Amino acid sequence: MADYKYTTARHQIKYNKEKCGNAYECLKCADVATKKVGCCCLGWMNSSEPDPKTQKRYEDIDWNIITSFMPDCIGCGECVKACPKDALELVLAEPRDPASKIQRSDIVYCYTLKDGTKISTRDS
Amino acid sequence: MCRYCVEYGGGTKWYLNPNNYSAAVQTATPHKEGIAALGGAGKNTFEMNIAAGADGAVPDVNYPDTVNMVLENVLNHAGQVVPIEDALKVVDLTFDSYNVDFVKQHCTCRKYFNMEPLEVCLYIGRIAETSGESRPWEKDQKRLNREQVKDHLRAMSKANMVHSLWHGGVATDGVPVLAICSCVYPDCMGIRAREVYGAMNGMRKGEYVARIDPEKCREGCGSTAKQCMGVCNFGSLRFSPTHQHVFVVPQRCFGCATCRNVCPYDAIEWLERTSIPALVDEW
Repeated sequence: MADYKYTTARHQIKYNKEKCGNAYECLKCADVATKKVGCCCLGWMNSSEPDPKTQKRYEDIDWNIITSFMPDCIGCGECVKACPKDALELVLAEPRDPASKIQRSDIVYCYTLKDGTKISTRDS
Repeated sequence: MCRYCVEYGGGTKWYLNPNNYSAAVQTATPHKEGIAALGGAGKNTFEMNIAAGADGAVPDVNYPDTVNMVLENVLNHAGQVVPIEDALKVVDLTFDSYNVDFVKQHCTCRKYFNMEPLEVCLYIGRIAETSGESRPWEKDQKRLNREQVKDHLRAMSKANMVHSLWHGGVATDGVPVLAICSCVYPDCMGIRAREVYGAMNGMRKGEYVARIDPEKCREGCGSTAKQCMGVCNFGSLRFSPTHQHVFVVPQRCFGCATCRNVCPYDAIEWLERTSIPALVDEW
């Protein structure tokens, strides 16, 4: 899986853990995503499995921001604006080669990878 | 018919087979690990990993091979929709085989996506036994006995929630139920995985399908209040102004029974999915 480079346009939210620190102290981005924008694309998750002996409260655990369900992200950048520490970045997708060059009526899906490989779902 | 039912149903639906609640299945590999993960400190890691990894696993939803890979492999913490009466049977089966009060706590999906926390997640049997001491930061855990669990589920039905069963993956010896939850779109990560990515294992369809009785529907609500359409989470109900009644899109119906529960005119019939030839492979 990891070898593929996709060129279909899809923007991403990049998260910088160093700038953010422990996300539990803030969570403004997730709040904006869920309650203001309604995309529900940002969640928070423990960075490692907590130890119940030493970590008794939510504050004791180290939390990350995760991005998920990005097809629902409309790329509005509200979460980026809401972050007081500049830890989020909206990365817009590169445009891909126009699929119409290789499309035919009997081909359902056509994709061009970055290295020029053309992929379709048609059985040949 | 769905492979869960065929292979693990023992002649009935997989979640109604008492064998799936037995100690032999639940204490053997691989379910032992799933139960330990959900009943231990790593519950959140186990559950949120699915959301954290979903987008990396599916960089392009329009790419069919990738989606198919996710269907079968990545999102295998599978949920299935059940109507309220089956959810109550699952409660009985669990208590009959292992009599430990359930743990009711916040719904992971809602809490960690900063929605209003809702205490609807029921962890059952062996998971409930250990989850208190292993997760001291979860102060909202409550223990519910058999009747309290059933009352809770009925209340969730009244609130138009979709009941769901969760298991940690299909294995050769059986498929134990690990949790019962009450879900809606877009709160539920499982329903979102299904609706956004098309990942079947995020939330499987239930064992039933709704069908509208056109006469009762037309004479009941007609063109006025259509309560059923407002509670369907899966977009499977359509109103036709020419026919003056609601239609079910059978391929989209998840059999959650919320529409049946709100219909004041008893116009929604309730069919076994396997009794309809066109739908026996629609899960």
